[in-house]
Amino acid sequence: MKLFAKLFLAALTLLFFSAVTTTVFADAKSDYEFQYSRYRQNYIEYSILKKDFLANPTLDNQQKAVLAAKQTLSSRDLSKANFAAYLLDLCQEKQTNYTPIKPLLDSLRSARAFFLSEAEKSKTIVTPANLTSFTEDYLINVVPHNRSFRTGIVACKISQLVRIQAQSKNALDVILPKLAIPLSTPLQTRIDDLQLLGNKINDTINTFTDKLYTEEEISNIDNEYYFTGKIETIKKIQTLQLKWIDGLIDIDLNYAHS
Amino acid sequence: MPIPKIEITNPQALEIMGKVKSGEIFIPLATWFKKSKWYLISILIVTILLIALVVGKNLSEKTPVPVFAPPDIESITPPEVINLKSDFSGLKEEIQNLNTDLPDPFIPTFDDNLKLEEAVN
Repeated sequence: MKLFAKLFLAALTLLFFSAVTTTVFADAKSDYEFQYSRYRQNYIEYSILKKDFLANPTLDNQQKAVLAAKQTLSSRDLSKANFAAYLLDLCQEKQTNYTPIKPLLDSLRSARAFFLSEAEKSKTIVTPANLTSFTEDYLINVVPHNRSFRTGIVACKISQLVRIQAQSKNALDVILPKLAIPLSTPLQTRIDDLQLLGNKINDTINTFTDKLYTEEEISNIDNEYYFTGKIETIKKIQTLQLKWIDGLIDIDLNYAHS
Repeated sequence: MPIPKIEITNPQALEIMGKVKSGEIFIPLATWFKKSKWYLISILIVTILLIALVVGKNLSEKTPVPVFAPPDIESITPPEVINLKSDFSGLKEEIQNLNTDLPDPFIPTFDDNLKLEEAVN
């Protein structure tokens, strides 16, 4: 009886943890969406009150405008912090442990911490002068953190490509023991070709990732065409991965199933 | 108890009885029949036809409709195509479904320059 009770408790605990792990991802995204919708509302209010204050600079209008600005700052930086968390979740859900993108993930973590701290700091604003001073400091420090979003998005895509590579390698490892030994020469050639193509894809991904850290790329982060070249490279890698998996499926159907 | 004998003495009743005995009373009826002979025959034919229709309908409802199928001919059965599906088709679909567009997700826009002073262009 005690054994059953223990088993039941263990199952409940497992269920609880599995529920928690599945909701973490949903939370990061929904938190970001909630804060961003708050920011948009607050920003409209701030714009109206600022306009009122500039047209009629009374003390009352000033207080209202400063309060609206504070709320907007808080929701803006919480939105950014949650967006960074959302990107981190997107990258980490693939569980690739691909170390070359680690600096990009670290910069997302650093951005998240920065925006959370700024959201907290904005609470101390009381006067328009405080607001100006806060914004001037913010504009100096925010640049690398805003950029981390752009590089973070590329890191997530790399993470997806790397995960596909890992799954592809596992698939080949599953098929190899199923093949009749000794391998025929055409089959051996196909396997060698697959391995060569796999290495080529890995090299392309590595080169693509390394290039993100070059001075040229870093200087182009804010460029509106920053993503254009990367889309082409990702499509090229996707095409190679499709070619690879077609080759593997062909071996699976013609040799491993017979 | 003996049944008393009834003797009809009414002159009107005696007259009617006399007409019945002589058959004179049936003359107008026979004349009417002669006059409407064709009408009566027509009504009779229509009635017979209607009855025949009702009886025919009831009989046809009770009898199942015979199915006239063409005779069996030798049909050609298409050869069975065995669609082999690889265990790795799912991985292929995953690669195909990979969104190559960037930025994904879209980066929201924020105003980083919140001040109560008018923007200087």
